[in-house]
Amino acid sequence: MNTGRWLKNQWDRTVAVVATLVGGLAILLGWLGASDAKLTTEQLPYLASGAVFGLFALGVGATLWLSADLRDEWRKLDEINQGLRAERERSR
Amino acid sequence: MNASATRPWTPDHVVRFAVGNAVGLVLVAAGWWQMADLGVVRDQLTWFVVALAGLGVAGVTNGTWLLRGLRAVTAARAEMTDALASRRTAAAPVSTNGAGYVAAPATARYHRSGCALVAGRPVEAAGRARHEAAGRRPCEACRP
Repeated sequence: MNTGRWLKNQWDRTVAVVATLVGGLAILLGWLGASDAKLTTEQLPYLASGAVFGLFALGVGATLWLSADLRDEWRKLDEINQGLRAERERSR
Repeated sequence: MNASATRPWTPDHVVRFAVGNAVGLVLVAAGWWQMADLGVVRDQLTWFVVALAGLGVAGVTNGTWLLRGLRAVTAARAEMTDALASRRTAAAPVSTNGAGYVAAPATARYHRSGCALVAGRPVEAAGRARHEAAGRRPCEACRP
């Protein structure tokens, strides 16, 4: 399977990885910015743009990755259930 | 159980997920934007709370989304277990010598003789009262 098709089929895992990287980068940049700022009033905005936005992005990333796992598991179970239903119909 | 009725996420859920996270992002951005313009810590903290509220909105949205998916998977798993249990019961009942129900040694549940969860395992047959006296409870799949 080529990369483009994989990215399209696994769009949620792709977005999850991107969101996690963005979140990690935001936290790192927020920390660097806050450590360079002298005044508390200069540091606080970095807390919002770095820590809060970083946690937001990490949360979205984790959610999308877990939901991709749940979707895959549900699809497999649904295939099995469809097979069992078809078998039950045939035996009637 | 109709599988399509328990599909993990309908388009409606996708919209709610997107809107919830968008609202969360807007609140985080608004909090940051306003904080950057203020020179007093007390005023900044008010907007910091707005940013935290955005994080909370996104958290609740994402938690609800995952819970919905988990419920759908649990329902599909239960449907599969029930179907397998009834298939085993119909296909190859294990002899219990009239003793009623079976359980594998050192396990916490007793089962109908045809339950898929004991298929192929060494089991001992006994009546309900004896299993319950041994501290076992009924299997959730075959519901003896």
